[in-house]
Amino acid sequence: MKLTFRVLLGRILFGLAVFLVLAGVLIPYLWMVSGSFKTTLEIQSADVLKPELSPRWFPRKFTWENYLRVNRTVRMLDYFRNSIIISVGTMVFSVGISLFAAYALSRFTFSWKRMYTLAVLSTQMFPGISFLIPYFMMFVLIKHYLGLPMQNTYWGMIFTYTSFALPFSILMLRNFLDSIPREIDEQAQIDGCTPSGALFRVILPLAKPGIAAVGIYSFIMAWNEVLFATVLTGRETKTVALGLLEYITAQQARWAGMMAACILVSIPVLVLFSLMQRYIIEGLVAGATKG
Amino acid sequence: MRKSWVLVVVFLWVVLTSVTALGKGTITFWLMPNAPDETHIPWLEEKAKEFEAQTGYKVNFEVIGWGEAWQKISVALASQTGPDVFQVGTTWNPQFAATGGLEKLDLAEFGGADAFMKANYISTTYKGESYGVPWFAETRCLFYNRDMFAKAGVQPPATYDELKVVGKKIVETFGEGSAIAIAGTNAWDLLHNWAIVLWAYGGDLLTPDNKQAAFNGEAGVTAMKWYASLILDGLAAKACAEYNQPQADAAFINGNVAMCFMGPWNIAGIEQENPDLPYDVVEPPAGPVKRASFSGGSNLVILKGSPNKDAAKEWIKFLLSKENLVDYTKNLSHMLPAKIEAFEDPYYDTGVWQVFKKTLGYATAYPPLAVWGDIENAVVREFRNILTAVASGHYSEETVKLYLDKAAEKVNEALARER
Repeated sequence: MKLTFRVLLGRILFGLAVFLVLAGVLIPYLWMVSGSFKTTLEIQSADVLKPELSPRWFPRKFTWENYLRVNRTVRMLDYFRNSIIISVGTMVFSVGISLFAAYALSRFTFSWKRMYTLAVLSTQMFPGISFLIPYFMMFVLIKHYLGLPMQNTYWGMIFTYTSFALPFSILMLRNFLDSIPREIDEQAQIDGCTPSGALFRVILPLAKPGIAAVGIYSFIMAWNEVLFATVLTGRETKTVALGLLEYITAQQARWAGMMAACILVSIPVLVLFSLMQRYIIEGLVAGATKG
Repeated sequence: MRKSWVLVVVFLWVVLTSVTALGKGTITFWLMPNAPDETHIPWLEEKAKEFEAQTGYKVNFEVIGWGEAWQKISVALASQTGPDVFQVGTTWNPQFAATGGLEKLDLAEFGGADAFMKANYISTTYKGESYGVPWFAETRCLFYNRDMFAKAGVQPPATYDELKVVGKKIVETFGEGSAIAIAGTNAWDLLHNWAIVLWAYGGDLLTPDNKQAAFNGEAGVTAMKWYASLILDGLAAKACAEYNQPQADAAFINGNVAMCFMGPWNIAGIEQENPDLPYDVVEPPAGPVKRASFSGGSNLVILKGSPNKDAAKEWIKFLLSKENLVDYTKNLSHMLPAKIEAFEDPYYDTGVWQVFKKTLGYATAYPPLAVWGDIENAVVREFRNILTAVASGHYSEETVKLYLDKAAEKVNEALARER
C-alpha cells in the first residue's frame, strides 16, 4: 500500500514536471498560433491595464486573412523554396563530406592528424561576424578571377553553410564512428570487403543515427541563419529567415502576418524533426559513455 | 573517365561565365519594402521593363528589409560591390557619405536643389556636397477622432498648451488615458516625436554650427516636461511610456484614444483595418515660438565603385519623373513625394493631403552629420530613462534636466569625433 502511494506520488510529480517543461517550451508557440488568427490591430492595441483590450488567447475577431495573404505582403513561398533548396543542399553536402572526414579521423592514422583535428575545432572559436566580410570578398574575387558567380546563388549559399556545418559535423560523427568497434571493419575486410566497401556496406548502416544527427544539425543551421544570408543572398535566393524580417518595415509591424508565416514555414522543419528524432537522440549521446 | 569529368567542368564553366557576361548593361537597385510585395514587385517589374525599352539598361531590383539593410549596405560600402543605386533613410545618407563610399552628385542634373523639399535636400548633403537625391518624404501630423472630439465638445488644438486643455476635457468624458497615444521607450523613432515639440518651443538639438548639444537648455527642458506631462496628467495611458510607434498608432486606429501623431502611411492602415474610423488630420500644434514638424523619408544614392554610374543616374531620373513619383508615393508607398513638382498632382490638393503638403513645407531635417547615429542613440537612451522614471513613479522636477544633461555630455563626446 505504502509502495503504491509512493509510486503514485512519483508519477504525479513526474507528470507535473513534464507539464511544467512542456508549458515553458510550448506557450510561446501557442501564443504564436493564437496571434496568427488575430488582426494586427488587435495584437498592437492590446493593453493589460484595460479589461476590454487585454491580450487574450482566443482572438476577439477571428480571421484567416493572415494565412490567405501569406504570399502577398512578402513573397514568402519563393523564400520558402530557396530555404528548402539551400538547407537540403547543405545537409547533403555536409553529411557526405563529414562522413569521409570522420571515417578517416576515426579509422586511420596519418601525420598531422592531431593538428588537423585541432584546426577543425579552432574554426569554431571565432564569432561568425568576423568572417562575414572575408566571405563576401572571397565571393567577389571568385567571380572576378574565375567568372563563377557566388553571391546570390544557391551553390554559393550551400558552400557557405556547408563550411559552417562541417567542423561540428566531422567531430560529432567521428565520436560516433569511434563508438563502432573496429573489429567490425576488420571482420568485413576478412570477408573480402575493401576499406571503402567496409565503410559503405557495414559502417554506414550502423552509423545511421549519427548521420541523421549531423543532417538535422546542418539543415537547421542553414534554415535559421540570418547574418550571412543578409549579405550573401539576393532577390533569387533570399531565405525565409530574411523574409520574416520584411514584415517589419520602418513604419509598420505586421505581427499577425508574421505569425502566420512563422507557422507555415516551421511546419517542414517540424515534420523533418518528427521523422528523424529517434535517430537524433541516439546520435547525440553516442560515445558519451564510452570508457 | 577522368577526361570526361574535366570536359564537363570546363563546359559548365564556359556556360556560367557567358551567362554572367551577358549581364553587362545591367544595374542593380536595392530598395526597402516600401509597399506590400503583391503590388510593389509587379510595379517595379513593369517600370524596369519600361526603362529598358527607353535606355537599353536592364534593372535588377532587390527588396531588402529595413532590419537587414544597414548591415547589407555597410558591406556594400566597404567592398564597393553590390548595388549600383540604392535607397537609404534620410538620416543614414550623411553617415554613409562620410564613409567615402557614395558617389558625389550634382543635383543640377536632377533638377537642382530647389526642385526638392528643403529638408529632404539637406538630408542628402554632407559637408556641403550632395551624396544622394531625395526620393520620398514623410512627416507627421496630428490625427484626431472626430466623434470623440464632438462628444467632448472640443475643437482640434492649435497649440501645445491647448492640446492639454482639450485632452483634459476628453479625459473627463472618456476616462484616463483616452486623450492621446504617444510613442514610448520601444519606439526606434522616439526622437522624431519629441524633436517637433522641442523646435516649437524654440529649442534645437545642436547649436547652429553643429558643434555642441543644445537640447538641454530651457526650451528643451520645457518641451520634455510637456511630453512627460501627457502621461503624468493622465492624458496618455501609462502603458504609452513603453509603446513603440505602431502600438500608439494601433490605439488610435482602434478608436481607443482621441489623438495621435501619425504619418501619411497610416492612412492606408486605417482604410484596411478600421475603415469606419471618423478621423481627420490637422497640422502639428504650435509652440510658444513656432510651428514645427519633422521631415524624414528616403533618398536614392549611387555607389562610388559602381561601373554603371550613368545608367544609375538615368534610373534615378526615371523614378523621379513626375508621373512615376506620383504613382509610387500615391498608390504604393503612401508617403509624400520629395520633389516639389509632384505636388502639382491634383491628388495632393484633396482632404488630408493638403495638410501633409503644408506641414512638409516647413519640416526640419536632422543635422547631416557622420556621427548622427551616435547622437540620436544618446538622446534616445536618456529619453527612455525619463519615460521609465515617469512610468515607475520616480519622476521629479529635476529628472528631465538631469537626464538631458547626461545626454548632452554623450552628444558632445560624439560631436568631438565628427571630422
